[in-house]
Amino acid sequence: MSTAVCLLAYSMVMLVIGPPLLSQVTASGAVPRLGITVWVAAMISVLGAWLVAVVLFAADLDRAWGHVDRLLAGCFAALRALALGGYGGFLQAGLAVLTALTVLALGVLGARVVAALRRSRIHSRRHAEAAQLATRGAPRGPGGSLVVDAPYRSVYCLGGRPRTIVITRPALSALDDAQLAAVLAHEQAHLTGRHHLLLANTGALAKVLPRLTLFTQGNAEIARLAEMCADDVAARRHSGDTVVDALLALALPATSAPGSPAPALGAAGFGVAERVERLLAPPDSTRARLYHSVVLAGLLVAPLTLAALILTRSPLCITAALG
Amino acid sequence: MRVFGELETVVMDQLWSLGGTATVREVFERLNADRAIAYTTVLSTMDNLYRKGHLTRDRVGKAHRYQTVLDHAEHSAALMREALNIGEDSEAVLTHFVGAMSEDELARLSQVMKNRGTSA
Repeated sequence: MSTAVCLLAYSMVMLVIGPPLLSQVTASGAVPRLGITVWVAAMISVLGAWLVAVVLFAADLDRAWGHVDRLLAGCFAALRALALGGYGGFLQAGLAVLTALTVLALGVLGARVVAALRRSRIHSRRHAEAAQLATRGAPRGPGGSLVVDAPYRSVYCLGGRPRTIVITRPALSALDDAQLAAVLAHEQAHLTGRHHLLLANTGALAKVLPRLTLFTQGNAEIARLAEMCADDVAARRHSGDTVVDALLALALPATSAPGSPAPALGAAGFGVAERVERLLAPPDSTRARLYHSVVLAGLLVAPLTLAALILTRSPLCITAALG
Repeated sequence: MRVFGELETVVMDQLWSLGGTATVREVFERLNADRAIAYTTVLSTMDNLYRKGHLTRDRVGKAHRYQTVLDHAEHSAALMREALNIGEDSEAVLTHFVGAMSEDELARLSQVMKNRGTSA
């Protein structure tokens, strides 16, 4: 019981200090893959803490059912006197309700995440099919892409089955061969890196837990870092300058028709200027690697310490929880 | 699965070039001209497109007459609208090479480019 309380306390601390700490560490995007790992590790540690806490709650209650004394000895030693005074049954019932509610909450949370994941998979597949219909059976474009007639310059990809890269015709004509190759390498990097799977999961968590910044901000940060990962892959193969030129060719408003507003791109942007700066002057990765490693180690050590407390049944946590 | 997707594409293409409305037999006859295909395959493909909401149909005599819900330009426009506004009514997971840019960001970008010009 006390360990469960400790785990919940850990998750609270993580939810409060996690987002500002992690976004500061991963801000430069010097090591985007490691940055994604750090965010994901933080999310998993919180979800894991909740899960283990619920299991411990339920196990404790099950073990102690009908043995009020033992439940109290293990859990609220300080309240024992109170319990002996005749409040034991009341307390036990209260705990049972609390446990049931926690289990229910976690169950509902899990079900909603699964539902959100299912919806995003269905929508992605429908979108891929609609993109295929839009090409009217025309042969595939470069890199197996679907070339769609639209008044925007846009390139994007969808994971899952079938994997799809969509290029609009204005985007295709805005890019030269080298830039196009770089853009395709970027999109391929998303697909082979399974970024969609990752973003579908973090997106579902962000939707289901909109008040917890660890998940909402984490989702946005992971999306930003995924773009940087893909930029790095494209830059390794086709030079950073080519990727920058491609970004500019697609990002800057068309200069041809003065007065007419540039087509409004509604999609959320992930800092094109920031990505360009990063490609032109890559930030120092040695120090960033160190910071990331320290945070990651912290994320591993805290749950391990708690696990050790569970195994050794250390009383430390009880006093901490009561104090 | 892939073959099916391809067939749906081809059927929609035929419907669009027929002016957006046709019976299964009309589509079958046009497709059968350049590929061996079973009538029932076309029938089930069009039924699928109907169930997915891409087609509507009216009973005319013993057959169904199908209509495309959107013409080709409208379909492409709807696709791009969805691609650019993900998160409102669609939850498809897709990653854009370049997203929207605010005025601030455009200013920052042109500053970056100016620096690039001077340092190069």
